[in-house]
Amino acid sequence: MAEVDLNRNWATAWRADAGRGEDEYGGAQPFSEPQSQALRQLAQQLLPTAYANVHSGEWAVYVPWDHKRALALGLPTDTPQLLEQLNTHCKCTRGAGGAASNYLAYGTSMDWMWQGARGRSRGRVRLFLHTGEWSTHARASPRRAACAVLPDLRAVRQQ
Amino acid sequence: MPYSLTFELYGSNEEGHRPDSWSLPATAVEGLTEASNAAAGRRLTASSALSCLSMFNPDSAGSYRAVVAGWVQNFLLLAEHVALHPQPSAQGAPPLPVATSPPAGVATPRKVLRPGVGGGGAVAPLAVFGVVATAALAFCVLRRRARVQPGWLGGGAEAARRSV
Repeated sequence: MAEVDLNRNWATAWRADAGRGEDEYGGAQPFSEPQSQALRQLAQQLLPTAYANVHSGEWAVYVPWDHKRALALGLPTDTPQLLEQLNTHCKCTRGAGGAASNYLAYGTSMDWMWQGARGRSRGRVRLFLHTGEWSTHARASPRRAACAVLPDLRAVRQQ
Repeated sequence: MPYSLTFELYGSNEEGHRPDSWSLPATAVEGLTEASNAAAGRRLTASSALSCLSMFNPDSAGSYRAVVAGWVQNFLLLAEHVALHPQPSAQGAPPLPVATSPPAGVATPRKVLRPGVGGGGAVAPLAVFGVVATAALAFCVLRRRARVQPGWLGGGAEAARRSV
């Protein structure tokens, strides 16, 4: 195991401040891990219209930025409408990731997919759904950083 | 890529969640086995494993199904939205709410985040001004050329009138 948080291993606002062994270790350099390289290659080949990465630890729908407390300039004008649609079901926190969660995350896939692949959609409808990362998400609480594994959902007991 | 999102599916203690939507029983976590720990690839103590499980996952089959069903609906909504808007306009999104789920009983004033906070907010008006100014300048130059070279921007008609 490289012990890299794959959602800190992307080039947008990547930081080297978390060391190996820490929960948010982003790798020796951006895209140091084969998993993030593979996703980047797929995004560059397919040029999808949308990308969604899936985590757990809170209830929320976020849009860029993760790495600053600001909404990315130039998001689709229908972003608020989309978030309200999604909120019909989740009834949850929504907005710019860094601002809405009050937690800044550097080198995330969402920010890279927005900035790194900006303006590079072919207009075909393609939707990425990427689930989680190797280590658990520590977005809102240091307590979560102590949990290094997302246990198997099959362990949930049938009632 | 026009749409880039993060879905946070579940949090213990209803973090980020409005309790009036999905009913999530707060029963104790059961059923975590050594086998599932091993499958997860990490050696955890029983207490930390239980803590992690309940932090990140619904704790009963019923709530699990409700969470999955809700997010499946959201994914389909997203897919439909993207299908209807394959190339959305991106002229500076309007303000979005920063956080919309204050803790129960706490009246938090609703903050509004403006695009490009921290200096970026002035970029859009300046860009519009720049485009308009450039277009006006280009129009003046072309009109001037038109007077010199018949055929530019109606200059041909003007020259024709003069020649008549």
